[in-house]
Amino acid sequence: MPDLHSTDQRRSTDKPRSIDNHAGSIPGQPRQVHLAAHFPGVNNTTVWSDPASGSHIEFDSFSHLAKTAEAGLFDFFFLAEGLRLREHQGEIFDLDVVGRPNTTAVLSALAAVTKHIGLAGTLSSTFNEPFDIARRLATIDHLSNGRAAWNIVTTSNAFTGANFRRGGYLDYADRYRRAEDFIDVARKLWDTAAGDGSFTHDSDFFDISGRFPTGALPGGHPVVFQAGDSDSGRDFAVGSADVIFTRHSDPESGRRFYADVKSRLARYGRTEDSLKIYPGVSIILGDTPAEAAERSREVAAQQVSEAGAIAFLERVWDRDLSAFDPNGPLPDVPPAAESISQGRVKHIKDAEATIASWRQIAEAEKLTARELVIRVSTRHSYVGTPAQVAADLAEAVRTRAADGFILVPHLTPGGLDEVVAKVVPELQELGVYRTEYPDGSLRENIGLPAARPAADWVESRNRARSAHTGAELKEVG
Amino acid sequence: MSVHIATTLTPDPTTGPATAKTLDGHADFALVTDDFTGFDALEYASWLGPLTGRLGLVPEVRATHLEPFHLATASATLDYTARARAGLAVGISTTPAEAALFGRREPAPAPGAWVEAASVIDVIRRLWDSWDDDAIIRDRATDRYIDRDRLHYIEAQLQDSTGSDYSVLGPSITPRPPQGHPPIVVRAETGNEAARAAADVVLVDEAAGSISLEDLRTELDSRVPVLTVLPAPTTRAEVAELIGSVRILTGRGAAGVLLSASAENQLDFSVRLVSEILPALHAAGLRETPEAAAARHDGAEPSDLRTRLGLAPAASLYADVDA
Repeated sequence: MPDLHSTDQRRSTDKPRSIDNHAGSIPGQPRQVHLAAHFPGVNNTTVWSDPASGSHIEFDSFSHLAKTAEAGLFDFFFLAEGLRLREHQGEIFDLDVVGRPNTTAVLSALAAVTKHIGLAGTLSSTFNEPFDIARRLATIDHLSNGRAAWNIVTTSNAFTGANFRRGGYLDYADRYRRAEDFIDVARKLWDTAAGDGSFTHDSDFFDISGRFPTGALPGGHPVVFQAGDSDSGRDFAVGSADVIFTRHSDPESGRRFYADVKSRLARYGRTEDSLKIYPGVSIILGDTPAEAAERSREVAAQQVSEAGAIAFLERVWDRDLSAFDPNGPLPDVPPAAESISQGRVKHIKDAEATIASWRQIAEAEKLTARELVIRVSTRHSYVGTPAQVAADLAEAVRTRAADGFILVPHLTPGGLDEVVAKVVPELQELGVYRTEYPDGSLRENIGLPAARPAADWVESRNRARSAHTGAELKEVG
Repeated sequence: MSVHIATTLTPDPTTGPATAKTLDGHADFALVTDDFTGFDALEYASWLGPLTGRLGLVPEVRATHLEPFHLATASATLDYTARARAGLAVGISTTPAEAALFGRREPAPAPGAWVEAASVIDVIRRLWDSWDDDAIIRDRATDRYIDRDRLHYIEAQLQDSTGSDYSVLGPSITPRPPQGHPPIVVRAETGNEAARAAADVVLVDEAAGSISLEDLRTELDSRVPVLTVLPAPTTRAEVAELIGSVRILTGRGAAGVLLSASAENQLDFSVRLVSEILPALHAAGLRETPEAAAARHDGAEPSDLRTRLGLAPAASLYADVDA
């Protein structure tokens, strides 16, 4: 069992010690904080220019982060996936930290060098087949003794589809219907694995039959993650997922999101503890609050290079701004109408209004273009001393802004070393963090109930939706 | 003369790791079998990567129903996690039962499936090469992480086993694997000339088919090793018989043998390989000892699979584009 570094000397005898938290809520015990580790992604939050930034492809980097997270008793390690290099102005975007492994191949290798931590990865339902995905995940679940997890995404765009024989365009509503069906099939296959493996599935999207060959999975079913945020996305998660990975990282919007999602559960016959919400968050530490704030400013400056600032503005302006100085004022030209970026989700819908508000901020605060980009695009979720951050995380969980946090470090592979060494012991001091892993599978790490049979998911979803009006039903699909 | 020794390895969480660890440092590679009736071979081989140090890991994949893009990134990733010990055995799937698992198309006869497999091999190599070895530049002066001129769209056009066209654009999401091209292994079968011509290593089971070693030696590039598939010996007498067979096969042009063991037998067999078969081959002068191999390679046994199999370093298919 990994014993935590300095915890023994820090933990005085009369302080309350945390109890294992299997079900997530033991009466009388404060709500427990859960942590998970995100391998740094392609976005500009990942800093490669720092001397401490290592390889993003060598296995040692993945192994280091997963083992660090396991030493910190994290629930799971998370690996995202992008299936086509993004483009900017018609060319491969060369500021992205790209060059990534195949998701499941890395998770399988990590299963060999870890014992307790969950192994979660993003896999597209669009460019894969249910039998193949279900068998790969079942293989990982066996190899890791019940630690496999799957973040299901749908990728219905021709841009990514250019790398695949599968895919093609689907209506927005059909995307969720197909994704739900995909999960239903996978769960059906995992259910049959406990018996003789025979299956048939004939639906609008899949017509398959045969024998699922892996035998019963140690974890029952791999844990299913979902990351959608729209109304349909939330219903999709409530109807099919075990965990939501959300971008609502600040506690206030987190609480609204949490309340909304959890309020939908009862209709689906689910308890509050059966769907866990993990925002992706960043942590910047310092020995004093001032030092942490200073480090946050330094990291933000690293996260937005001069070229990165111009590229960021180009994605909003949708035009070439290379003639403008990132250290000068914001470009004094209007935005164009057509998108110059491929392979990204566009978060800014109204470019003109956004630009107008940025001009006001830049003028009022005397900011250069790059400083403005730093101001509007980098926000570190938790900045402070280890004790402050631990208290803030515990407060966010206590006030139901989150069940846990997926920590997104800006450095590979050592970006969570300090959090594990300093924040985890503080959380343990507060009595809101376990001191050893529970026995069992990833479900026990997270505090999820045992896997429900596929048929139960389908039935409760159908019951919930047939109780609704036709209009709502149509919207959900 | 030093014959290559490979074995089959059935993914099995109970005997698999012990078998692989026994083979590690002794056999040249393990062919991790997969015909959809057990665990996924790519995942299983990926798991064995950190558990072994010198054994080549060659998962079997069926090109017919899977995405070439995923096969390329998964095998490249295996080459990273297993530190340059990956290979890839490319096969096909022709049965109605296998087609029904995927449900996307009708089962197709072998010739069409092999034509597709040959083009999938080419696509996989192109995706591996779609990143030059030095594509990641981390250039502080321009803030660029990669040099996009060192990445290549592959723009491949393929036809699947039922005659439908599809395309793969590239580049890969994964940088060029450490070996450049992890060795591609193909079993010689009637009608798969194109696929085996695209392979780095060819397997032949003379007892099961009508293709002979001599046929392949005439047909293939002289640098392509051919390994003969033989059943794994289970008794001392069969070991002695195997040594005699290896002597004859090498005389006929075989570069080595792939010993095929059943899942139930594989652990016992791996022990027998190390304790009886390899010493007998060394004694017969048919295979060099690990010490002799190390001496030939500056004191350390080669750990990458290409070198271990005597294959030349893989040049990028886009090398001339860059020049």
